Amino acid sequence: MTDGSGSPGLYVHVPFCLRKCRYCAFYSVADLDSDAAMRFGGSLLGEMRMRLPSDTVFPTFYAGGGTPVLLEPSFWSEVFAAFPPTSRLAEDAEVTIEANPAAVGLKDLQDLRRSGFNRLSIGVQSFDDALLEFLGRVHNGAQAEEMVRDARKAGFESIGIDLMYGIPGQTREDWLKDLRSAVDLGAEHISCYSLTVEDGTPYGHSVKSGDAPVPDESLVAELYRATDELLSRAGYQHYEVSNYAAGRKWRSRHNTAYWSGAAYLGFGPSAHSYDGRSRRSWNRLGLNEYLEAVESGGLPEADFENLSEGQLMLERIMLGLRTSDGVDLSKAGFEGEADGALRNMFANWVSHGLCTVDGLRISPTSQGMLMADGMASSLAAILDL
Amino acid sequence: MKERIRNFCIIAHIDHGKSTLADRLLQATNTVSDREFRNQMLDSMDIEQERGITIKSTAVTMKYSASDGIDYTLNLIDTPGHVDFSYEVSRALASCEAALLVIDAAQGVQAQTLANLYKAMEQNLTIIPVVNKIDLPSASIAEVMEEIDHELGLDPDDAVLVSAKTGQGIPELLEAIVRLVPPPSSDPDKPLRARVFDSFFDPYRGVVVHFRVVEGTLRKGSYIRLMAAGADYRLEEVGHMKISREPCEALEAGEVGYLIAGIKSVGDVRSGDTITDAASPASEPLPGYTEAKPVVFSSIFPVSTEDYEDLAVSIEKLKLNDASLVFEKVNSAGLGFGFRCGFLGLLHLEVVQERLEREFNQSLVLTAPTVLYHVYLNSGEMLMVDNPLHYPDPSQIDHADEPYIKASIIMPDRYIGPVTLLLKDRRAEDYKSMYVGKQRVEVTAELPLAEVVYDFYDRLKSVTQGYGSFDYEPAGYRKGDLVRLDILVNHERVEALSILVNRERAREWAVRACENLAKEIPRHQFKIPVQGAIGGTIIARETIQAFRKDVTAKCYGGDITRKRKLLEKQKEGKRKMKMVGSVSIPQKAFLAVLKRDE
Repeated sequence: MTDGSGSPGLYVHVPFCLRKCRYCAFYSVADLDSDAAMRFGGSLLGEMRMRLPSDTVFPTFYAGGGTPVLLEPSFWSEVFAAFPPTSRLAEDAEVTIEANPAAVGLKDLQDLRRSGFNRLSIGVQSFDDALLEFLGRVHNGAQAEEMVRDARKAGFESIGIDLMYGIPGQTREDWLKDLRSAVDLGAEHISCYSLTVEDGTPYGHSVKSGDAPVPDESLVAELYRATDELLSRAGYQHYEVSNYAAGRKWRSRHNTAYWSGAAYLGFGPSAHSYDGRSRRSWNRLGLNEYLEAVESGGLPEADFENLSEGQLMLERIMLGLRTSDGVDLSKAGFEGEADGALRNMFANWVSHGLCTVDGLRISPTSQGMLMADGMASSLAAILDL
Repeated sequence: MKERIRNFCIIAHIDHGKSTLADRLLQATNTVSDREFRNQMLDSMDIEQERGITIKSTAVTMKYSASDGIDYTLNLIDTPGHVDFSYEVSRALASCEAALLVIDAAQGVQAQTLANLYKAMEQNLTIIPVVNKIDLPSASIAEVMEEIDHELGLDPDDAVLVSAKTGQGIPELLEAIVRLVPPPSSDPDKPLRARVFDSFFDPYRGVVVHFRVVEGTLRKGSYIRLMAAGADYRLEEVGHMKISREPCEALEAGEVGYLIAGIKSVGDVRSGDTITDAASPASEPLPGYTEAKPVVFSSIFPVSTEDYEDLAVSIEKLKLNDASLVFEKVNSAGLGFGFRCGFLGLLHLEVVQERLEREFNQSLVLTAPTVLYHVYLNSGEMLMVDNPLHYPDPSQIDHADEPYIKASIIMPDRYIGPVTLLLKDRRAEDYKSMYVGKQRVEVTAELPLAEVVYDFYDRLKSVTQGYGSFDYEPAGYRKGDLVRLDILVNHERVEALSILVNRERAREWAVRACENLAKEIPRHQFKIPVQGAIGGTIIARETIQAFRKDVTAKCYGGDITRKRKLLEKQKEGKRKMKMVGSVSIPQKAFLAVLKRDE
């Protein structure tokens, strides 16, 4: 099996937001004052000092959340300075921070660029004010466009825009308009997420009580195809279920590591880490529990799992099928041949345009990526994973 | 000694209260204390208790001090109530001198009342009519008395009125048993002949055989021979069945009891076999022994192919206690290894299925029940085909004959219309009807057994609102118009769903099978055609639409573990599915096809 235990990508989870969006199930708290920021920053630096390995050149760094730009830009300089003396980010490291319009201005963006970030992932969701209001976002469409232009001015060469489709009230035309706006703004990377009903979110509650509609499955599938068509024509590669890049070099290297079984180290509450071989661990979920653990000098790890070979193979399949690169079963740990039920399944998928197959490598088409979970489940049944 | 023995059984139509009456007799004779008592004492299997039916014969010895001041030994032999087990019933009847014929005071004489009465008369048994449920407001005792007189030809003066539920009439019944049941007329000095009427498997002691000593004496420690099986055993233990086993030194002619002799499987001791003394054997076995012949066939597969070994072990264990179950190993391309099984009837099939699933914790797929066809080839050769997969190519077939039965249905006359329609729908011929009571009619007709094996009995219950009763006997073979219908899922034949069916039934079956499969097979990543085909001709079709989408929008570092666990959980569900080609078919889809719904 290929070993993903090379140098890990780094992830930092910042659990603060100006306010919680109606659909979002990520862990965050919506009250950030300077004391809380200080305390969190201290613990994060503390955790990194404890856990960052020495003698390592890290290929990627990703600040996500939450809304990481709510912390002072200068804080990130401290973060990079907290690396062990023999470790550093690679020269060509991809250093990403997530940002929301209305949370940062040109000055902040310039400071972030100077502190070391070279890639910006902007949570636009939509350029349509009515839809933004439904989602409970704090910005409007004009602010989103302005932010993209400011990011260019601040020197970000790699800009990603997150958009959302399947929003109740959103028409096909609305969606295509949002996509065109992102293309026109010259985004190197566009993430297109279908609105997902998550338990425990305000939107989830509204759906349960019947006050909000569920995204219509066939409309969502149709919008997915329309997205692939429009963005492909605009020169983007559809390289993961929800991700498009204007060329291979603009793919998110950090996220690609997740999908290819590479190692990553996550810091901050609820962040997950994986050693690229068999150990995955995750930090305590709540901010206070996290702070208490680190402040008392301990690791904030909540739990871990040791993955069996079967579980590893299952993960490789499940993640690989989400990407256009697909999965090579022989590299995922499968030692058999493509015969019997497996060959049948492949032939069937190929005939339905879900993938191409070369030996034991399955490369999903755009349509196949839309079925990735079902395909993974069928493969798991055949391989008895 | 034997003048004080009374051997009798209880026979009845289903639900007329046979097991409750047995319970009352056990209590009234203090065979079982109130503390030990539970309902349906003699029905020990879960499935007997739940369904209120008796599957195995059993025997129990009771002591009764009669009003004449004498202590009597009453041997009650409990018999199965269902037509599937009629051979077992006849062996049990042959071990008695008398039968209590239980008739529900509200329902009167029913099909199995008559069928069981005829069987008892064939054995020259004394019949004591027992009118049960006289406490019911709907009881019509006078009418039942008249039916006993006119329809059954029995003396209503001998009838005993009881309520097994309340205990009313039970003392009178016990006195009637002592008075009317003749003592066994048998000779303890002749060479030993004892008739086996059932046997059970005890995991600690091996097979426990129930028998009636007809002639001679059976002694502990002697060597016995099973005459049909041709095997000798040393008698480890003999005794009487109370609620538990009570060993004794010897059993004499006329007595009913059990023996344990290191017998490994109930398959080694068939009901009806004759036990004799190995040292001085009887010259002839007792008459009436026949091999149980299966009439309904189905293949049983584990849902998950890797469970085959477990199934094999389970079915062998079940066989230890069910001599009439026959099976052989089969291998199906779609379903892997399993067993082709023969059953005495559909109830027997259901009982076996339930016991395997429940007692042995197996998840099973059963193929459509088939009867035994006689297929005549152009070459003149005749093949016996009980498996659709062995049906020859139609071009080689001259004709095929299918088994018929003669059905007897008794119902209130207001249901004669719907019952006639039902029979007509099931290709019945030679209807005859006659009144068997003031407003009750017996309809007899001959129809293909295949038309009965699916859900005939359920349908009959439904169209007669529960008042119709049914019994049947074989009526030979007749020419049929047979085809093999295949079900194709995503263009692959699902072997387990192929059936042999009358040509005019094929389309109806195919349409329904396709509809049910389309309902039960989950959507996949691709469109799935479901078709019914005779040879290359498609006669029914449904389509299962593909998922429009089947993926979550996001999966990053923190989502992987949760998502993998979800897949692992789904796998449990997938274990209950069969892969046919690239399609996962849930067990309930197979069941849905095999159930004939309305």
